[in-house]
Amino acid sequence: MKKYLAVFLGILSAIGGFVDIGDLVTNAQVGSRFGMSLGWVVVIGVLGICVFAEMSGRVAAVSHRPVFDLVRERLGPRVGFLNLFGSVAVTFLTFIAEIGGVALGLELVTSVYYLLWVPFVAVLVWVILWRAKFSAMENVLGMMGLALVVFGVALWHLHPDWTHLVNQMATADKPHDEGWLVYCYYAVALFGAAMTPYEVFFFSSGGVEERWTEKDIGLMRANVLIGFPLGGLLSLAIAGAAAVVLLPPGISVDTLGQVGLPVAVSLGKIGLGIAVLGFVAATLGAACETGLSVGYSVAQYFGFQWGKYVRPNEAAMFHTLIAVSVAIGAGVLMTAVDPIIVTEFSVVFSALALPLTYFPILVVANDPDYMGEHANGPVANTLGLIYLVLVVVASVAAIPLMIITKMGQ
Amino acid sequence: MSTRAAGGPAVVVLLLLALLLGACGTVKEPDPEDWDETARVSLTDAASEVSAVKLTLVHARSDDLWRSYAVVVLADAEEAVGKAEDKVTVLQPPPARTKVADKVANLLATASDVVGKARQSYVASHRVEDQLLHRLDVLAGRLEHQAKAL
Amino acid sequence: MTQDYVRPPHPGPIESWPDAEYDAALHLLDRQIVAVDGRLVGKVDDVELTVDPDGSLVPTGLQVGAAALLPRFGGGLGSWLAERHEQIGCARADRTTPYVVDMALVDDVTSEVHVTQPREGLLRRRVPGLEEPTRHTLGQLLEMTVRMPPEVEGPAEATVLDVRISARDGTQRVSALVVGHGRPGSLLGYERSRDQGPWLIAAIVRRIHRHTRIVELGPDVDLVWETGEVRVGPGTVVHQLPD
Repeated sequence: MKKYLAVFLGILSAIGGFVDIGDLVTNAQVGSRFGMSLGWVVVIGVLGICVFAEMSGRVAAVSHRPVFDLVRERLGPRVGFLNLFGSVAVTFLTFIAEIGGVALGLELVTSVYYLLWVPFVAVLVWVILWRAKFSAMENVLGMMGLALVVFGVALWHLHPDWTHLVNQMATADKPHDEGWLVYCYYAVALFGAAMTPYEVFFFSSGGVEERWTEKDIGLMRANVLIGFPLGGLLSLAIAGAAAVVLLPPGISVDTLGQVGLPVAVSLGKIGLGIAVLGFVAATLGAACETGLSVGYSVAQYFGFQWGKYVRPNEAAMFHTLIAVSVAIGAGVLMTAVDPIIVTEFSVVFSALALPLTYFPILVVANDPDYMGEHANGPVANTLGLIYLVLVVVASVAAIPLMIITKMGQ
Repeated sequence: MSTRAAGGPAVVVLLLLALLLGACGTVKEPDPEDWDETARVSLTDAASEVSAVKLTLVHARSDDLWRSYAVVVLADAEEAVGKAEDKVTVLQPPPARTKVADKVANLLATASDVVGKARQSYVASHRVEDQLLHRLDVLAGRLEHQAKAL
Repeated sequence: MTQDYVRPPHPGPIESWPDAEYDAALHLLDRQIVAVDGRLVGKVDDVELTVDPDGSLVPTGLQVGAAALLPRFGGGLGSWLAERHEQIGCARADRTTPYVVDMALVDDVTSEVHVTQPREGLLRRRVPGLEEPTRHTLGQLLEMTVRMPPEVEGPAEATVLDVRISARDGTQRVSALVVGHGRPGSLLGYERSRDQGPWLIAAIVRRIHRHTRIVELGPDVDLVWETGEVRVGPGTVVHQLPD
């Protein structure tokens, strides 16, 4: 009984933890401009994150090695450092966007300007990372993030023409006034938002934090293979609600307030309240995850003690790193840079950094000396190879598309 | 000392290159197509914000949003319209576009004005007039129409 | 906390540590060092190789710290970084000396390296004794150029990609070099068997490394540390990579 409860809890927090500021903003933007015609990218992205999260989780369970240990072991100190630099830069950018997202969410509740919230949010994130137990942090914020299910309810309540939405998705039927290059740019952004590298850093390091062993592989798979796709459905619901409410009057989303509008239109005040709770919880959860991921990656490259499973004074360097990143992150936001723009940059740069993370995972998940009988099977390898190609294509295309389309204008 | 001696010419060359590149980038004559592009993006953005304001006000009236949320959305829209307006009006319109430029600038100024007034009246009276909604609707239509015409 | 620390299992060639035959760059270098209390110490930034009286190379310690890590960035970049590191702390006499964990403290190597002491105060620098043996590092060996004799088919010049260490009468010694083109680590572990997936990566790595050979150390192999060269004589045993 207790075991099933654990599985259930894990899946629920995986769903709630899947969506972050990048998914919220990008999906709403895409839904409001392209309808569901880019929905297939979310499906592909979610399957991709499942494939690689499962691999990295399996490696973590069998060998107790999180992702950045593998990066350095397989790529060596030089390429590994380049990788560390790129990955940490992207994760840090995401971290800034998440803190900004929490502040924007609080602004919507209180109408107090978000910049005034930033310092408080930063301190809150730091306190959580310093004090809270790992599992408590993950479960509580994941559960609260489940509030975003309200987007699904809202979409349902709007009584959309489902066949039309599915048809749009299946045939990539984009509106005529949008160009193909912009379409491709948003495809790459959505792919980057769904497959953000920090998710696997966090997932595999979390596995080591929670002391997974070979026995936990089943539980880990259930979390990934059920939780992530359901989280992906939430992303699609956000896009769908925007497509139904915002696309016809020609509103293209550029603030967090507009992301919530479809819920207000469909369900009124109570629904909107739940959605805003979901915004705050999902971005706060993701802020904690990205903040930890910065510390995890650097610590795992250099080898010093990391993790919430030891007391902070036993992982002093790790906690120092986190404190410094929180301070710098808040500082960057206080320059009044628009958090939504930071989010847009972070998802595109995520797409750029994807191969750096996923290539070493794929190699090590096949290594018999590491994995023994748990090495990749043919299914994981076929999917892994296909995604490696996709990820490289997205990575190569990201920056040129960003420049040509002037970030999707 | 040796690094300095070696670094000197390199720095000079770099600075010269930067200067040359900067000179290439300086505009002598505004390019009509670039201007069209900027104007189109600004008009579409403004149309999108005006529609968002209308949607927000309609649902604020039927009590689907709470007040602070509506105010934040309206204020954000006001800021965005202002930015869109600035983007075009700071450009020197190319000679072939002076007439259109006036029209676009007027339209954007109206949009900025109406959105600002809408926010003010909502904050002050918490009531939404039918007339205002109609005005927003027409305005969004005109902005979009102008964007397509460019 | 200490009690619930479970070591990972260790499939692979280092199962019978210390009586094992393993490739040092693949199986030891850059791995996590874990103290007996389960706390993380650092990475194996380099491996100290001491010249035995009989002339063979024995791994005697794991080097930790920036002084060991930075030169491993390789070539010009590595030495540039090491010089800058030296410059930043020029008042410290031991700034270029890395910390060492003595090999005698290593009791097991799995996906991590276990030592028999707690983390607190574990890392020390080697204090030079009166009759100091000659010491080199794995990093130096991995930077060396290999000159092959014309009798051996394949390229005349190559680099050391990995270093094979085998246990003989209870002592581990360097027994062979994996030589070929590219940089250490570029084999990604695919030198061990053709069966390791995914096939596309395996095929590409195998193709790039088709000239890679395993050179057994013997009297005809001369390691010239001063010039960073390995001179391979005509009588040397050279293998292909296993299939």
